[in-house]
Amino acid sequence: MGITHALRGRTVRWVATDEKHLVIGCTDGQEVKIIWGQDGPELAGIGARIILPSVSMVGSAQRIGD
Amino acid sequence: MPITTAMCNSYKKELMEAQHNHLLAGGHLFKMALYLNPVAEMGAGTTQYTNVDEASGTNYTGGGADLTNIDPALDGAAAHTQFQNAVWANSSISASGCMIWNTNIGGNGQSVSLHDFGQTFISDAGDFTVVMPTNDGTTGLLRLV
Repeated sequence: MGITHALRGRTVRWVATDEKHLVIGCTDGQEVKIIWGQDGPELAGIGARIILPSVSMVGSAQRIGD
Repeated sequence: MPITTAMCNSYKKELMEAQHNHLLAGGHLFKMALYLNPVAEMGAGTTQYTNVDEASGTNYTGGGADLTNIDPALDGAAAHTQFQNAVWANSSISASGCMIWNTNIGGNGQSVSLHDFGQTFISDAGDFTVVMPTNDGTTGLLRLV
């Protein structure tokens, strides 16, 4: 998979860099990591960042007979 | 059927039986297992960890990742707890949801909650990171309100 294929259909939300990579964060939670190779930019990997939905146990006071 | 986000009914009962310990020091070992489009319904009625339709791939181990507990706290009238983020570094995984389960009780480990990701996420030689919500009485991962 190349950089174009990895980004196709996605909307870029943010761009950042680390020691070796350019990281492109997309609105769907996927992250495309690019490294500078011998012949130019190359796809280094694809990551995911998911924010977990929470769950709860809901209680409420109830008077007997109501 | 997809995963339905829910606190497991069995977990609610087991809380009243003092079967789950979420403390950081001396508490139980909870894990997060990833799943990819499970055939069977997974949700409030799920009681135990299962490896059926569990995700697989590079740097993913069956049963999922160990979670680091965060001590339960009160926020007003709401009790809440959760875990540190779960990360599968440099992995190649596809997953559409996850289960949090307790490794310390039950023959196969008892389920705590199921969480639907809303879509299938992939990692390909990258980090698969599950970020916990803000840990308070309104958005904390596990809340008694």
